[in-house]
Parts: sequence; C-alpha cells; structure tokens
Amino acid sequence: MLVIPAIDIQNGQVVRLRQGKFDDVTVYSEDPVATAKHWQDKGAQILHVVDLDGARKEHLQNAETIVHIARNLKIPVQTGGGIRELKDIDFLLSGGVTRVVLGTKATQDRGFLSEILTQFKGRVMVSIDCAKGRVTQKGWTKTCELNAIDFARELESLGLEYLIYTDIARDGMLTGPNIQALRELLQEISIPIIASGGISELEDLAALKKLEPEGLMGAIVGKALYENRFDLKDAIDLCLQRG
Amino acid sequence: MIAIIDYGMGNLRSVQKAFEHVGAEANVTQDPQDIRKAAKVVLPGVGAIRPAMEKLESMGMINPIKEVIKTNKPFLGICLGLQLLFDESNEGGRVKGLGILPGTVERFQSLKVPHMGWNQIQIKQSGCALFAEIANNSFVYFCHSFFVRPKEKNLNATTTDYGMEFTSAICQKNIFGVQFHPEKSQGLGLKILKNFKDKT
Repeated sequence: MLVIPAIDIQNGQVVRLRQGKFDDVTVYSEDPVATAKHWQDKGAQILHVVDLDGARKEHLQNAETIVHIARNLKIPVQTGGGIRELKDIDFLLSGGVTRVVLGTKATQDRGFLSEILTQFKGRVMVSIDCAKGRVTQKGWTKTCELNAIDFARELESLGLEYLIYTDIARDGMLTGPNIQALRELLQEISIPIIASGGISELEDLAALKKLEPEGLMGAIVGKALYENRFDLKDAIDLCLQRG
Repeated sequence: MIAIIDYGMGNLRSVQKAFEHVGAEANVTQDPQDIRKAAKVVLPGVGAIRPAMEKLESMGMINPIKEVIKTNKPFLGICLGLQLLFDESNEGGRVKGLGILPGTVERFQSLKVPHMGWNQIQIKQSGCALFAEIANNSFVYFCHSFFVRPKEKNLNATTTDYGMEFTSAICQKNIFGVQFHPEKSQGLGLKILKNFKDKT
C-alpha cells in the first residue's frame, strides 16, 4: 500500500486545514518545493498536492507553483483543487504533473469528465468527497454513503481508473479513517481506491492495509506527518510489509 | 485461441477470467500439443524457479515453449513466467531458467520482500504493443521477491522503483513479459491483456 504525503497549498505556503475550513489554518512551511523534496527524500513514491486557493475560488490558482514542484521532483505528483477547465488540465499534465484530481467538476459535469477521461486516459483521478454539500455536518450519514457508492459506480462505468475517497468530516481531524465506509465502497467497485482523511497514527495505516487485498491502493497522509505523529519512513515500511 | 500454460504454479483461473473479460478465447492447458496449436501463449505463475523448471521439464513443456517463441508467436510471461525466460536465477543457489533471454533473476537485497501492492511503471519503449495507450506512471499490482536483470537494457519495456529501479516489463519482438500481475491490476491490467490480444 502506498503512503502518499499531502501538500496543501494556500497563498504559496504549505498549510493544513481542519475539516476543510479555510479559516482554520496551520502554516507548516513557506517553501512547498522544499517540503516536497523532504518527503521525496524520506522515501515517498508519490505526492498529493492540493491547491486550496483553487478549491475555494473554484478555479485553479497555484498552477505555476504545482508545476514548479513537479519539475523539481523525481517522483510523480498528483494534484487537485479547483481544476475545472480543459486548459488547466492540459497545462498541469504537459507541465510535468503526472495525474490531475477532479472533485466538484466531476460531480457537476459528466460530459466534461467523460471527455477528459478519453483524452487523458490514466492521468485523471476523481476524489469522492462523501460530505459534499454537507461540509458542516460531522460524522457520517446513510444518505451520503449511498450517494458515494452510486457515484463511484457511475465513475467506474465511465472508465475512471483511480478513485480517491476523501472523508471531509475526518480530514485534518486525526480521528482515524472511516474503514467501514471504505470497505463498503471497495466491495461495490473494482477501481483501485486511495483513502484520504483522518489518518493520525500508524495503527490507522495498519487498519487500512487490511483493505489492500480488496483494492485499497494507498493512503493520503497530511496532518499526522506535519505534526510528527509518526515518521514517513516507518509508515512506508509498515505499508510494504506482507498484509 | 490463447493458451495459458498450467504447470501447477498458482491459480490460473484469474488470468483466464481476465482474458475472457477482454473478449479473448483463453484455454488453460497442460497439453504441449495445445501450446503448439495456439495462436498466442501465456506463461503465468507465482513461486520459485526450481520447482517451476522441474515441472515444465516433466510435462515436456520446455521444447514447445521454445518452438512457440522461435516461430514468432506472441508469448507473454507473467511474474514467474517472465523470470523463467532468463538464463539463470540466484534463488537458493544457481538455478537454470529457459535461457531464452540473456540475463539473470535476482532477489531484492535489503528491502522488504515480497514487493507487494500497487506501484508505478515508467514506460521505456514507446513502441511496445503491450503498453499502447497506457499512461506513463500507471499503477499496477505486484507480488514478488525476485526481479529480472536483462543483459540488454533495451529489453526493458517498463521499469519500476522499489528502492532501486528494476525491470517491471520486457518487450522483444514477439516476446513479452511483465513482473506485475495484469489480472490483478483492474482496468489498466485488462487494457494490457487486451493489447496482448489485439495488438500483438
């Protein structure tokens, strides 16, 4: 299972939010490229870069920074946040970014998504954000769980190759991932899934790793790394072990 | 008809099912005659080279495999099936392989084995039919402790980073081999098998 460090960018800085609230910010670094290199040196195989300004303004804001990160790394970079337009996807992918992550846009415009999947096959991921539209709601509701699965099925039928499952209620909360919801989703679809949100300790990764045979491909880890809850090397070691 | 060689090294049903899924007629067989008659041949397998070679020998399968390759029929080795194509392995002393491709099979040193789970492939040959329309850095599923070290670097169709860069697929004329498991690599894996069916 892949451990994927997250780099969330706001105003050019590396930050973390709590539950995706833009005013609940902790700044971890002024230099995203240095942070990215740090995770690469620690053994990361992929980085997950989020344009928080883009996500908030519903339009890609930090494209230059993200391309700059990708060009300065040996490992692949995937990125999301505010990606809504073909020209932005083209700019990122031709600029050295390996994969783009679509969120809101994928939920709103299936025609666009379908076109993008055809044109950039294998270089597009979709993040299913279970609490979409219910950001203030804590925890899990049945309704949104059902929606996530329906949406995932639809994405699979459109030919999506990789899915990210983000639990916004848990993101930046260090409360542990939603194993049950992930398991249900994995049972329903056969696209490999990357889990995101809530990971706070190595035990959380160990619990996720149990889902690897069912199709869990990796886990995005943010705050726990920045708060030194565990070392990335130890996390990678743990996740490489036989399941 | 694609013949999948059954020599007692692992469950081949998943490979067969994956081929059927992409519309190929695939037959699991232990009969050397089926191998000779097939349009394309797949050698899958997991495990160690020594028992695999012993089994292939006792089944009278070594010559048919060599004939298939010589007659330019598309041939796909998966995991152990890739490793078997090479000269020799250092798995528990020196073990001779089929010797079809020059190179050796080696164990990962100072890294956790098996290398298990999803990892990315860097595409090294733009023209390899197996990887037609497959994006660079795509994820595939691995489970192995040994890897091949071809003598000729240009044999590499893809490489993968696991603490070091190793050969994750090879491509030479009609000979194809993948260290990962396309049958366990979801949509992308199916695309690779479909390419083997349609484009080789």
